[in-house]
Amino acid sequence: MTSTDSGNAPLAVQMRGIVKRFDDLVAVNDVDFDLRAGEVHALLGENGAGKTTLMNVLSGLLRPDRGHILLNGEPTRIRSPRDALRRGIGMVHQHYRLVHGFTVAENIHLGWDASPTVLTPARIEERTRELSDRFHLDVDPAARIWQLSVGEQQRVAILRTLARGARILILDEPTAVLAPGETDKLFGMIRQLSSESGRTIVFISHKLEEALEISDRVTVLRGGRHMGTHAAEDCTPRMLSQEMVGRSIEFTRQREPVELGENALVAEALSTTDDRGLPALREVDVTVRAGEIVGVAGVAGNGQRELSETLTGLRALTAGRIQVGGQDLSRAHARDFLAAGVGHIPEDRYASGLVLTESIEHNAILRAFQHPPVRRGPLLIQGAARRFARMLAKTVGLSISDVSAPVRSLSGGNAQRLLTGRELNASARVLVVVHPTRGLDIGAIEEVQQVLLRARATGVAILLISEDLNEVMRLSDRILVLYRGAIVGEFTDPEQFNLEEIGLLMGGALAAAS
Amino acid sequence: MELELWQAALLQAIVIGSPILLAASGELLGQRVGVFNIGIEGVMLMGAVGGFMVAAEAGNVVVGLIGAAAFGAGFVFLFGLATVVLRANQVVAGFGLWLLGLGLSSQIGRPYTGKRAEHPIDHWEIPGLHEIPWVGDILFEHLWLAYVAFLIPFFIALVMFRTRHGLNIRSVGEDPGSADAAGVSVIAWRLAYVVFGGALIGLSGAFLSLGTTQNWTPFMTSGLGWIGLAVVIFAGWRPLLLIVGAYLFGGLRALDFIAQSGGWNVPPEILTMLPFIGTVAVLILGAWRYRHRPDAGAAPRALGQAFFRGS
Repeated sequence: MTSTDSGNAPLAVQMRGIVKRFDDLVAVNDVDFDLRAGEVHALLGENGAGKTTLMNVLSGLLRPDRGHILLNGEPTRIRSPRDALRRGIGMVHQHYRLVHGFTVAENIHLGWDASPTVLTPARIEERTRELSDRFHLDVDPAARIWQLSVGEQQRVAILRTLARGARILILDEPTAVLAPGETDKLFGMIRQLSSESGRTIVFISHKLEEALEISDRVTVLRGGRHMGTHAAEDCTPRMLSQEMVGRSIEFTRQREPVELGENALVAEALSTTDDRGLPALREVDVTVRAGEIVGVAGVAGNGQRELSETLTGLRALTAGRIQVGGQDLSRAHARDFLAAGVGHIPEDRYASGLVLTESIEHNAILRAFQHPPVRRGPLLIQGAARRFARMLAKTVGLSISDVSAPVRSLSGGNAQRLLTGRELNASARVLVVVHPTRGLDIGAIEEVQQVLLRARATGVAILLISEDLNEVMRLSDRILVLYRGAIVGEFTDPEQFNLEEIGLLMGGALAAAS
Repeated sequence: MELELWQAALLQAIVIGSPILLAASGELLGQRVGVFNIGIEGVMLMGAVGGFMVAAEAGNVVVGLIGAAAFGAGFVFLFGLATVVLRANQVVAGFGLWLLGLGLSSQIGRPYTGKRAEHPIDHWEIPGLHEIPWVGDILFEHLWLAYVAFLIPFFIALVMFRTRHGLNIRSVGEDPGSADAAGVSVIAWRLAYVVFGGALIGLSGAFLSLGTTQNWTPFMTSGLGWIGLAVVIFAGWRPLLLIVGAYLFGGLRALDFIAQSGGWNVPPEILTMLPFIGTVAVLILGAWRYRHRPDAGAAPRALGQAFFRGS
């Protein structure tokens, strides 16, 4: 459809023929994009579809290789984020780009021409309070960013952008790290901003339902190309998902019943501290039986990382017991956990799962190089390592022509498959999995989930820690909800998993559940 | 007048501490915007020789000091181009800066080696105060540049913690990506403050050649630049604590001389090491004390990291 055939609001932004390349990758390929003044416009697409890149161009962070932008009909070159803000365009990034050691007030006033030249903490905190009242965004001006929850940080980032006079507000995946309750709050805020103060809002997302719920119009990108722009009321989730991935994907639960075995992982009254020495886990009890997937739902920063680290020997306990297959590992090191059959898929596969610059082969043997056949005496047997890597790739259905290529050359999905295969091969008993599909596209998500379900069918006990509630609900036999380091709820019947109730628990709204 | 030992120690602490304070102030400015300049010793030498030459040619000490600042700033500008604009590794570039300063200063200073400064920095007696018994002549009869050195950290603290501009420069060292997104020109501020810091480090060199010794000799800084670097860390990147650190380390440095006049039986090498042992001790103490406070007493988070937009 053309950009002017419905609605009578003037066009605030016209992006024409935008191209942006990163080395060989064409992230945005000849895209046209319009914004009407006062609308909420969802920008939909899979990871890597070019949504964020396109908006980075509009907000001045990136310069397009080709194409041009018209603001209110005038051709405009946007040179920097600061320049964009001067023209009324502000972007709230997925990572909020707040200085963590600074206070809320300092972050609001940072890099802002309208900040007073001489500023004392008291003065900018007072100004922040006024802004907070004016935009109905509740923040604590004196708090430091690292002390805030993700939702609170998001409010600070939005407030900062609005305070600088953004008439066009770009929100990059604003709901990705929020609990359902916080998402509702955010949507209320977006509606208020667009209806009461007439601001134009771009809502970047890969979640269809959310996009349809909040937006007036939807634009879909795929592989860096513009697939279509529609009025939200004319759209169905099915048609949008087809546009997003190029085929329709059925989300069905493909879990066959599995006979549960003995208790493979038993953790009792686990307590530990985070990196700052503050309590991160409080008397957490977790039991996973062979052939069972236990999901841990929760908003990021409520102890997930610490839980996965204590259960793999990476973080010491301050109290409690861990048993794997009857063996006590409460004081054991990571290597003992591996020997006892505990595999780990860490939350950031590139930071702590794989060595990006090393070859696929060397990454494949990371858990096996201490044992024959890869090791012989003090030597590493190259041929055996290569055969091992090929074997591993085959078990997870990875077709690799050259195992000496660096892991960097693999796509996110293939890297995750390699990692999953390696950990399953090393540990047949327990697998601790954190955010296994984060950042993957829909096809790769399916494949990784299938690998986990196959492992379950062979009797592996899996603890699945994920922020993606849909994933937890789809895969788990049992769900635990983690909030502020404690288990606040347990759901034992997969037929009666309740998104709303779990969401409320994740947000700390309910004290107990079924 | 015969000085008591403690009086001599205090006097030396200030005499040696003042150039350290100037150099540390300059280094702090650079580090607060995220640039770790370990070439500080080489920059001091360039300032020392530059100031001496300009003062000799111009026949005026103030012009000489301006020359010293310009030599320091210009020399560090090269470093800034390499590390901030071209994003070279700061440690490697800083090492190069140190060695280049060492060699270049002895080369260009050759015609001046061994000559006395005809136009040295004057001593100022602070009226009234210098007549206070016991401490008056120790604290208030110094080179006028020493008083300036004492005031600079206050000025830095004021700008850094009480102005919009200061907020922006701190953010550049803490989190350049966020600063950039908030509209702060990261590259410009980094370059500006590294170079400005270079001017102060250059001045500290001239403090020696036109003040303390009043002559130019190659390698005359003999490690004071490294102590300046240590003082920045000792002070936990807080400007006012630079004053404490500089005089303390100046005093430790003076122990060598005091031990001789006091007839102590301690090898001078041990005494020369004391400032560095002190720095290591402070680092350990600081790491322990601030373990649970990510926002206090720690190095600027982005210290030593090149800035790439979008990373």
